[in-house]
Amino acid sequence: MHRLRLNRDLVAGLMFVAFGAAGLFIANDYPRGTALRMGPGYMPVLLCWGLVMLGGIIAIKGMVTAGVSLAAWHLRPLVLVLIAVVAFALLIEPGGLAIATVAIVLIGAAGGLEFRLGEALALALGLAAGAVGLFVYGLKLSMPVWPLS
Amino acid sequence: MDLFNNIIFGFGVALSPQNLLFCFFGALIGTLIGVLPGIGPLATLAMLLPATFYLPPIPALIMLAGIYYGAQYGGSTTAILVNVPGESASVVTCLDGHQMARKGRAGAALAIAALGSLFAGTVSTLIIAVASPPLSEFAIKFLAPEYFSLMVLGLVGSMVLARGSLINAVAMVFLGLLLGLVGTDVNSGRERFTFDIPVLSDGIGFVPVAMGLFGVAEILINLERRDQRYVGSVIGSLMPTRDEFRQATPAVLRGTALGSLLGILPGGGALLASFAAYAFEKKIAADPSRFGQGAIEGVAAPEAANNAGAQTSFIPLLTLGIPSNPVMALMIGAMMIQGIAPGPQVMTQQPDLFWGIIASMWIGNLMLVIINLPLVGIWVTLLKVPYRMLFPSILLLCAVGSYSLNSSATEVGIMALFGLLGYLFYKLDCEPAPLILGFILGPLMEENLRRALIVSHGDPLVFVSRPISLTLLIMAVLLLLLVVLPAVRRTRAEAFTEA
Repeated sequence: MHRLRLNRDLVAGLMFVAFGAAGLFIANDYPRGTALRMGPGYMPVLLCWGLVMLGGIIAIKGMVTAGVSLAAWHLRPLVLVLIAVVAFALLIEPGGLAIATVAIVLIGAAGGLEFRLGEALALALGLAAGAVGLFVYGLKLSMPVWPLS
Repeated sequence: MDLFNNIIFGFGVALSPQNLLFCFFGALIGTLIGVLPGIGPLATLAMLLPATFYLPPIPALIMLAGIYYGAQYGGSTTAILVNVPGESASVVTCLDGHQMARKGRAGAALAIAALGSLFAGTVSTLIIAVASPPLSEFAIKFLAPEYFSLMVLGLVGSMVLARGSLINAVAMVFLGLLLGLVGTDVNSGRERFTFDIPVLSDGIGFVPVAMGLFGVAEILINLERRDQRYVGSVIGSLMPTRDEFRQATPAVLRGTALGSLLGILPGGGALLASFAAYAFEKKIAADPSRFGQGAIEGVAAPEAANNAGAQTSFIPLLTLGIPSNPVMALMIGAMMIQGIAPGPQVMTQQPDLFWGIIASMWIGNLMLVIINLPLVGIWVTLLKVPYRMLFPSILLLCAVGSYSLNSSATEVGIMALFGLLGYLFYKLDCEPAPLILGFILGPLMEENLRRALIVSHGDPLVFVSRPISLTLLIMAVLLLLLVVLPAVRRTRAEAFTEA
């Protein structure tokens, strides 16, 4: 028997099984009801079992065929871009749009392959001014602009 | 004649100064985001959704519609000049369009793309006007079982039309349906999968999910490659030669027909239409080897098809109230913000809205030709902005869009989570489109299933004993069987690997 290698289908299948199993675990105490009177747990449980089964088939397909090997993950853009978005989420309410914009643009830009600090700083300040002008004064979206406002 | 009167009536609505202005805004914004790679109509619509709250319904919807079909025009400019799709539906236009540009025929390629799109837009506007009234009259008879079966057909459609493995697409639909059920159950008031997070009690917002899966994930994927754009500045004469016209005309006709058809299909829309049209042209060409070397048919057909598909995908939305793709789901969101319940009753209850939007599409197409052809120089300048400056701006727009809809920072966090998931799905070759359709239809399906079973006293045969419902289900089964057939399977794989 050949050595079991992690390939794309196997991982995808396991991912679907994990989603389904987690769903079943959480939905365990939702009342199921009957087909005539469906409870809040009826559809979720049905769908989760479907996911477990489909995921199982995909995983088995991955095990019995050679499959496509997993593509490499580029961690730098992934981590920095996601941190940038989270920073925006954390800063928008206490810090306001201007500060949150500088944070998301600077951290996000650092995730790129061709990062230039000076250029990114200028971009961040320019976009902060533009965002406040466009969204708050132009489109009149309601959001804080400065800290504690 | 009714049709004639309706169209005149629609033009009366669309030609009011305010509606014309917003039609122009829509077309202009659509072109802008179409030209800029990395930002599509979905993220733009999501961002502008909160702003439309302050507009009356008709100009709001006219503008949003304009953004979608406007992006189809703008996308071709980038594809032809830079060899990068400005918008995902113009991926195939790169192949021959950019080769034409290298041979100094960029101007002709741009002109054919724009004129082909105008023709396709005109025909598909007419199709919408002709097909919608009978369809919505028919759909008004639909009850819960029919709606449920229709949604099954829609989901099967999105699986069949997804790229990659069919079973992955099925699993993605299930996952989407499950994600759609997050939130308070309408019948029992019980919270499901909310983890005690307050915003989740109304369900996961569509905007952060869509922006995460499409906007953020796309940035993550793009950042793996170096930015290798070369912006050609020589456009040359915009006038195609007589030969080019002769070759392009039948291709435009075929592209329009195919695009109009595929736009109506659930899961269809501009993207699928352009891929299919390119594959079809190559298949029937006398000399397929010309494709990829600058064949004008390879520009004309997909560009006509993507515009036709973008417009006819409004048919299921306007007549059935069911979105056929993620962009249409956002249009439903926009209608709901305006207090309009999408469905077959819109046409009779709000004829000014219905016919006004249709007429505005034709006007918008006319504006787009002007925005795109004589003004192409402006868009070329824009293209010289490097991606390292573009992507942080797009990221900001996505974050602001997610935040502003409900003024909720949590939703920005949800967008980050779905950005990560979108990247994971990409790496595992699972296309997100079926997931998003399942996500939108999840709560609707549960509700209609529940209602159908209550009416039938728990008898599941209700779905096959009603003729319309049965027909829809048979169509779904046939569609599924079709893909499993080896011959069709091969063509499907081919169609998607062309690009």
